[in-house]
Amino acid sequence: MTAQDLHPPGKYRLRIADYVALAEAGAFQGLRTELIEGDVIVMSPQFRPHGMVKQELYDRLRDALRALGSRFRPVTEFSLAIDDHNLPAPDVLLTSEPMGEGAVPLASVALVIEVAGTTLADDLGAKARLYARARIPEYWVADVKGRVVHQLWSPGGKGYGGRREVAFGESLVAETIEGLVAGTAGL
Amino acid sequence: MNVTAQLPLNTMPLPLRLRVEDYLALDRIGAFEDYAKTELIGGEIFFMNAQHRRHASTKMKLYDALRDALGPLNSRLVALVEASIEIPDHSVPEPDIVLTSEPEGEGLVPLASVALVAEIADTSLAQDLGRKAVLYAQAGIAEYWVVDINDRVIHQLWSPQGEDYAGRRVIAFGQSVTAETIDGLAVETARI
Repeated sequence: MTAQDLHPPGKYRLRIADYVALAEAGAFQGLRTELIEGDVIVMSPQFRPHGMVKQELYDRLRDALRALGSRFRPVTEFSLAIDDHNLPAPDVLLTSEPMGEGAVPLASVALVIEVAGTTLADDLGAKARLYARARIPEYWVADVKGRVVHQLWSPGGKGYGGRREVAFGESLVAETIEGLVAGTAGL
Repeated sequence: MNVTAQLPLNTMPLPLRLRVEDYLALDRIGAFEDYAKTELIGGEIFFMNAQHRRHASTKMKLYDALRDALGPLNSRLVALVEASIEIPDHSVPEPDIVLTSEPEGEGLVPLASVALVAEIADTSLAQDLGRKAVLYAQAGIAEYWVVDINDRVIHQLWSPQGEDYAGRRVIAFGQSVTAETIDGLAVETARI
């Protein structure tokens, strides 16, 4: 026996299968939840300022992608299968595979958007690292209070290498999707 | 301002605390098959790795010593090795040894039946004297022993108050441990 044989107790991280089984058993009692790093995270109730920014971004992206004839389609709050311990439901994501069974496959995702009310620090911190580690090409965080969109791209192991801030009112030009521009006037 | 505008919003991600029934449902679907042992502590699940002989043999020696000591007392308490206790609503610990008045019956050991729990600590000492002590104190478990096999001492804790035990002493291996809350129960630690 060597010292390396002995490990202190560790935290069990729920797998997607565990999370789904709990959901089916009614464990979440109607709460909106995500699976993040093996924890079930309760999502905030969605109030109008947050909801409207999300809805407007969706509408503008839908129109812009349609006009481009893009294979990507925006969807709101679909579960995204990142790995066995992470099943977030971003506010908006662009996927080339909106149809089909189960969660949105990671490989189909071009852009993820979180609309941040009170959760800005987390959306720019742990969430950004999660999405970057998953190599999601581009990530936008719309800061409702600060009235600015944090645009992040060039994912790596530690986070996103590219970033800029776009004030509400200016145009959002996607870095990684050719021709995609979304206005933010009136958000 | 309407009522809904006054609801608190999360500023940080809020992990949901799993309940006893959630933990048992996960166990039924085989979620913990790869682990020697798991426990639900305050809504979070922790796993423990396989026990090494030193831990396992200390546990059995303490069990034997407790069993021998309880026998002549005609106590209604029975020592069980690694039985899970239900601490509503968010905890199912599995102490190395529990003294319970209800060793028979289905399901988890009911909290109200528990007189004393003991943990054998090697790599888990910090958790056993920390998170576990808080859990057992909050649950009102009358007495708690932590056997530290590295430093060869027993931490004896009793009189749960809030998140801690008001009574505590440290006894070196070789001396005898006299239970504070169970009349007449004493164990010679020379045997462990």
